[in-house]
Amino acid sequence: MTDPARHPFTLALLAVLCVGLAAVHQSFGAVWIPPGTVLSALAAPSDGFLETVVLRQRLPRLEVAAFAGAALAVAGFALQKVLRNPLVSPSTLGISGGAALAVVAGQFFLALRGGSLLLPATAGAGTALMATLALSRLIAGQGDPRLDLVLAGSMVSMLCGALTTFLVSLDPQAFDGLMRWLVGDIGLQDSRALPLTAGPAAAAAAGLLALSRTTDLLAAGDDTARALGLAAGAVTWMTVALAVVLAVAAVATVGPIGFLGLVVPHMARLLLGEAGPAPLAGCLLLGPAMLILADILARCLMAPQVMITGTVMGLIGGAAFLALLLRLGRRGLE
Amino acid sequence: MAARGCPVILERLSFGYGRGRLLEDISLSVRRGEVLALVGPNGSGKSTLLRLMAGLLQPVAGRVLICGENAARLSRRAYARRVALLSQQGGAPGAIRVRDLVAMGRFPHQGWLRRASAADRAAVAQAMEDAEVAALAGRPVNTLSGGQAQRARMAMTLAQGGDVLLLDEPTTYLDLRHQFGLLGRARRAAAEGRAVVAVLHDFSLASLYADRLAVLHEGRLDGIGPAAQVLDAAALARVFGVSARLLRDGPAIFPVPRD
Repeated sequence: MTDPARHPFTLALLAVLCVGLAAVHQSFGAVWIPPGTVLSALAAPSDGFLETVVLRQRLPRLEVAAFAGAALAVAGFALQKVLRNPLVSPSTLGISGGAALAVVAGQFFLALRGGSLLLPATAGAGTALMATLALSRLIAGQGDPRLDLVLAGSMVSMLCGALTTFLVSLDPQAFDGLMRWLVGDIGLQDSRALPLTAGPAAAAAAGLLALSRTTDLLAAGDDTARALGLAAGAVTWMTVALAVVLAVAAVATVGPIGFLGLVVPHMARLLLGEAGPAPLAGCLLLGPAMLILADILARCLMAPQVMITGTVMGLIGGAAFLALLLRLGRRGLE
Repeated sequence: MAARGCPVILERLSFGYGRGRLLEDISLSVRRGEVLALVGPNGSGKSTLLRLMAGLLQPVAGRVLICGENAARLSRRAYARRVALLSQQGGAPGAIRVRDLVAMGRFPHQGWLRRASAADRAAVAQAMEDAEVAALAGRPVNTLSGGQAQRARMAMTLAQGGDVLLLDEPTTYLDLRHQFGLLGRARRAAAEGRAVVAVLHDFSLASLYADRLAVLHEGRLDGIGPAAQVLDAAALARVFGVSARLLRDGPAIFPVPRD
């Protein structure tokens, strides 16, 4: 149970956690860089060795991790809220898989690069989501329709994944880079996409924050929401569309990163409840914290070898997801 | 019939899915100041009729007039300013406080940015007072008992205001004191000039608190009028398939099974 009066305090703590993890992220790694050196590199850029490591390597990674973490967590929260389904997220609905397939196809067939991939990625994500919704109707049986949706999403994701690896396998030269991208490697190039993807993502997140009180009404039930004058269908679709924009921005920047968009919303709800802008703001802080943590582990656990952040996130998130499923299994989907 | 005094008019209303009809040729009107109870067996179409009045379903034939306007032409928001519904389906976002749930009732009166005006705050405070949840204002909804939650949802519906108050089995979960309290509040809403329609299962409550009863049987209107007129042993046998006699005490009517 969360007391709304304490939410500002909780959010402040999460912000401190985020800043703390960011500081650790900058200082730890193959080389220890004292926080003072990090700060002076940020304040007055120079071309010393440590300063270059900070500005050219660690800072871009931090930006990308914070951005993708926030975007995926907020997208997952919004989807879970309006679809009233605790198991949906950009990855479990096929949105990330569809975007990734479209990005690879755009590179392969149309030789698109960089920001121009944002459009096919959006189209791919939207198409995959529609396929998931249509498929879930087809397979709808006697069981819980929320599980049908997740099953359909998994099938669409697998299909997109199979097509993606097939395309990648046709191009041996690009194979290595694309495979790393597909498992969510935070590479040195990724931050170049940020100036383009940050705008739409920020606008979508602001839209979701503005809608957060309105989407609360959906939780009162469809009949009640509509009797209160809410165009329930329109608000649901608008929210889903904004979540897709955020997920696509994250995928186009750093590649598909699983589990984060599924698990972080649950953590945010535990701390900040379901209603209003507070849990959404919590996702804006917890998502980055989670991915920054994964990136710290990726760079430190086997240093100087750098692991792939998405795979570390997958391990953490997979364990958290398992715990979540066991908990839901005991109490039932609520 | 004068539309002026009748915020709800149903004209030869039919509803169904596919070829099956759940409701057939229903005509009735509800006056300002009146409480109309919808009674009938399970599956007779009471809740469907209420949802048609709330504009949540579209009739396949006939029409609904709300304050003289064709309901099909009202926007969702304009509808919500005239007609408030206490639905049977529960649910509230987990940790939301009672005061915030009740404030949701003001949604149709607010703009997109949803700033609460002084009138909104006054309506919310009054509704919490009326539904006896003022003492629970700061409690998260998911810590309430079933009866407390039902009263909080009633407060939300009262805060919505409007000309028509629709209640779908409002006494569910409520103990006797709060059943009387809620239906007494519904009566006062009628006295304030609203038209009130309530789906009720309990004949004694219906006969005590409603001016008229509409008896539904297999999707048709079996009878409509004061309880003393429409409730008799023959109607109970025909509509509910029970053999019962009716005890009367003042305006109240109690069915008792005949053995």
